[in-house]
Amino acid sequence: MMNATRTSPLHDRVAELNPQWSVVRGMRTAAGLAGDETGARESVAVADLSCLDKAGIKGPEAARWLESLGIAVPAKANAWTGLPGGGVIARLGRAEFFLEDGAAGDTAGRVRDVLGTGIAGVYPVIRQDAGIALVGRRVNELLLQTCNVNFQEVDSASRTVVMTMMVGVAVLVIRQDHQTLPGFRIWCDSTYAPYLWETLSGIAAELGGGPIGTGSLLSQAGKLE
Amino acid sequence: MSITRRDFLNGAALTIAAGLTPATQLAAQPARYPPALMGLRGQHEGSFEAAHALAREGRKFPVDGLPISETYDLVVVGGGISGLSAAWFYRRAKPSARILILDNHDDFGGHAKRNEFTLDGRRIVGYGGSQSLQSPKSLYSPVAKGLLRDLGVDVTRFETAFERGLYPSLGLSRGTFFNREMFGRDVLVTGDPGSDEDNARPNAKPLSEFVSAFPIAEASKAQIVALYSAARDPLAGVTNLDLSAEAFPYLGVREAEIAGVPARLLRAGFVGELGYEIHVPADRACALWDALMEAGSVHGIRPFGVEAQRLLRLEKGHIIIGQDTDGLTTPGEAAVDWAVKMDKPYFVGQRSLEIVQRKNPKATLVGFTLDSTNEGAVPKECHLVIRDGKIAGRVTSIAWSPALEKHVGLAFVSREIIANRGGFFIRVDDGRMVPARIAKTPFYDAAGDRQKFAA
Repeated sequence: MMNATRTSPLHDRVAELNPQWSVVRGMRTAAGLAGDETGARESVAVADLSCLDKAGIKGPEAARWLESLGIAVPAKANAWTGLPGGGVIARLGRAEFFLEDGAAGDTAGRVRDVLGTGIAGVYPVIRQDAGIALVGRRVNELLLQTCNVNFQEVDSASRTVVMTMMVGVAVLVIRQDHQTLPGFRIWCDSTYAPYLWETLSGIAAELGGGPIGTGSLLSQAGKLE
Repeated sequence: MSITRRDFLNGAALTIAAGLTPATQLAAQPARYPPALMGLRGQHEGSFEAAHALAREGRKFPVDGLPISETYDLVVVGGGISGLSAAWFYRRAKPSARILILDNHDDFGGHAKRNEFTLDGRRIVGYGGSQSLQSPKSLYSPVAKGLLRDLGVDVTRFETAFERGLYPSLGLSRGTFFNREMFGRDVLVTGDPGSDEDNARPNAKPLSEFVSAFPIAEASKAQIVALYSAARDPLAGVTNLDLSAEAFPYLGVREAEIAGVPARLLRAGFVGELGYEIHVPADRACALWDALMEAGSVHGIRPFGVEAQRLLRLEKGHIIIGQDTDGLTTPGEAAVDWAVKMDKPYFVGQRSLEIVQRKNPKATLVGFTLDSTNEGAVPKECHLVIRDGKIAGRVTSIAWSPALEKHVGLAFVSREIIANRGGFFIRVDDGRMVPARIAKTPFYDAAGDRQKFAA
């Protein structure tokens, strides 16, 4: 038996960028990429955060069950709140939730392990999304070119969840600033991820930014190879 | 032996509920603290008398008339790791549940007991049951791994806390004892066959040399050696799942780990060969692919594309929904009425199908082969079937079968053609008419022998 390594849907794209690999949550992840990452972040940077653990859950008892585990769920639909360790829980509807752990959390993993074991009114939703982070002062210029939602109205305090189309791809978006820089998290179906990545990276490059590794975004970086 | 309810609570029955810490309670009573007990701690007195009385003496223990004084949401019988895990998962799903765990021994844990000793004021914990279990890193399910994580069990501690060099350091190695009663004479065969790569083990021996000293028939020795060294099929080499025809029959569905990846397997037959569909989380697919390719390399494994898949399924007469059917095709037209359980009380579309079934379909999907005399153009998919100068159907699939050495295909044809059980014509691009003949499907391996395990 081998210990299977997880593979990001963006692995091949990131591998072309001379990465310094690390392993985060069992997934080979670029801690850093060749080039000026600091400069990219000041403009607009794109990072692959697909390594973070995810879980999906829905059902009439989903909210109550999550609360029974001590997880604070957003009170209304299309809103998100934080999880211990830097994760997020997004309420996608009255009875559907999406969870993603930060690098240090284990809530999504804990929920996923229990889901599907016959809990009445609670059902697992398979989440195999690619996770992308956009960070930088010119991030809104990039979003204006890719989506018809006005993300300038989505501030970090409102904790709004936006489900929309971005360059033709169905995405889930939240505002998540990084230190003093504005930022967004984007999730999409993993089969569309390379196309979305290329498009976002291309526009970011035109704005003076580009892809970066995860080292500066995750509070707990993985083990470097 | 009378066992009162109070004895259970004081000894071996533990209630997991908010606020109770049974281990702490027991630790406060050294005389009753099982890990501190000395001697053999397996089936001690008090653990087997009731079972023996039932089995050997035929005694009955009337329990039906006992009053019910307490209620629990869950009663777990057996406080081994399985029972304790069941209680743990139940409590996590229902945090306020009252759970009673019953066990007939003086300690919980089953085979996973521990012994505690105090030496020079220092507490030493040793194993009082199983020394170690199967490797959690590679063989445990995600659920079991999650349990270990939740309990704070650091499996990597095994690598530093367990003295794996103890026996070699004492000059001891493995051996197998064959007793006189079973094998005719007492024989101790020493040696460690291990793996070929690991010859650093004390008294390492090749498997064949180790087995050759067994006091058994030569044929049996050969079978044992073959069991361990014969080539296995790629899938069997990377999973513990029982793949035998009896345990995992055709059209069966199983869940298992393959090369450490949680997977759902379908023993499907779309291409008509012995095969499996393996569904895994997307982020593990590359790892699984690599593992299968590596395991299959000695067998000459190689990937194949969808064009080969489409030909193989056509030889079996298996339809592709969307190619051999369209949005208006009914089960009757596609000749798959057998797949629709019309006697169900209700399903969406049932009434419409009942209406359709009362009418004969204008065209039905059939298999066909090209006439052997055809040396000209070959029809393509969507070419029209012509009868008496009128459109009487269309080709949905066609391909050259190397196995059958002829063209085989599927086509919708009119009921008049079917009634005549004969030939028909397909009009190709240049307007010529190519003769074809209805043929029974499957075209290939009608008995399905290739989907069975070799005898």
